[in-house]
Amino acid sequence: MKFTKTVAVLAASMMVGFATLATAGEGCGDKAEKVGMSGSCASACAAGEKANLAKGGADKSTTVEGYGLGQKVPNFTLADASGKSHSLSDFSGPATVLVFYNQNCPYVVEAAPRIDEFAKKYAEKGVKVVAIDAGADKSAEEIGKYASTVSFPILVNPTSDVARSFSATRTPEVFILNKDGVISYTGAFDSGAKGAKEGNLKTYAADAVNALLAGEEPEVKQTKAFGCSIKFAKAEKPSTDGAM
Amino acid sequence: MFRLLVLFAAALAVIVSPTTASAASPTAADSATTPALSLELFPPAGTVRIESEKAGIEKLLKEHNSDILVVNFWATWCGPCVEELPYFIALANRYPQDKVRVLGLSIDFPEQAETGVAPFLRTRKVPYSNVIVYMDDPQETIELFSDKWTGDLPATFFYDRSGKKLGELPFALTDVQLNQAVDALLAGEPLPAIKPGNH
Repeated sequence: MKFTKTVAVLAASMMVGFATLATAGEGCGDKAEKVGMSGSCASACAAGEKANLAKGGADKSTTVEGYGLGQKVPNFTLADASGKSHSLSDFSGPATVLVFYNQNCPYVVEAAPRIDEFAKKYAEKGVKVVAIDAGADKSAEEIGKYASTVSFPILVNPTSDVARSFSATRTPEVFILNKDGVISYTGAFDSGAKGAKEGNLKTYAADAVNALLAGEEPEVKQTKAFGCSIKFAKAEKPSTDGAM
Repeated sequence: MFRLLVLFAAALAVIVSPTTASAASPTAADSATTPALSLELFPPAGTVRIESEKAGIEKLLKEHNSDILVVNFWATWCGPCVEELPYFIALANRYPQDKVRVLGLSIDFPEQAETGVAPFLRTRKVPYSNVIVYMDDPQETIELFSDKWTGDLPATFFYDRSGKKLGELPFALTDVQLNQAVDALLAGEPLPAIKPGNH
């Protein structure tokens, strides 16, 4: 039955014209329908914000255009959702994995169990996993409630300045620092949902950390990934880069 | 029941034959070199299919049968993507599909195809084809489109009839910017310098 219907629709849509039929045939109302995690990963305009880098880090003196590979990250201090202050230097170790994070982003939700498992597994090796929520879209309470469900701390950066200082644009986006605080890997935590389901996951972050633990440079230093754009707080400095 | 099926199959065979399909192509020369648009490749509006192969994505970029293919990467949960969606809908409604075809590539998860993406497309009356891209490694998808693109959404890419990339605007667009880009490409000009703006 289903097949017949499909064939009928296909045949008809070819006759009438692809767009015409498909649009006319639906009969949906105009009323917006709540879909997925709608809006939770909204961003002003990630690329625009990226070009519009404000001051770097929480270190007032630093003005940089995003820390890059091979660069030492200046210390910064952020509070967690309970208000407790943490400095980057508190998390030093053989490797520190910073993850720009948004607990409502479907791509974060999908990867969270693996990040959490990784954090637990590598804790005994002295590796620290630290999440940073740099979005301006959640209350500390909401973040705090979620933070109690994972093994790693979530630092809150409502001004987004730390994300800007890293040129981070999406979640989850990973920056791995070596024992000297130098960025040794940036990009995806791993190759994501499909690989995780089908058993052919590329564990980029773990591979990089394993290399650092072995005293070596990661083989893959940079990867690209999809994710939710960070909902940046309004920049203190207005953009001068062709804003329209 | 079976007879009905045969009837539809026969109708389908007639319809997809090159002679009929060539009517949609702008010139005889085009219809001779390009096959008919495959609805299996380009799903009807309001529906979505899942593509897991790199070759499948490359096929989309080559077999669109239009002067300009506008590829828009998006997701239902991506605020800026949803914001610019009406501009792509308007664009698709403005031109015949053999001139400008819009293709939405969603990075929603496949589990969302029927429960999230398809209803979303119907509610918003999105008149163009949409495909969920679900690859072993998203990095492969990103690099297939551009070595400069970080994977940030939304992102828009333009291709000519042969599948050659004409340009890329990997950021949120205004309606003015989108039209400016398409107008230039239709006039055979290069993509104008369009910068991301805060909107």
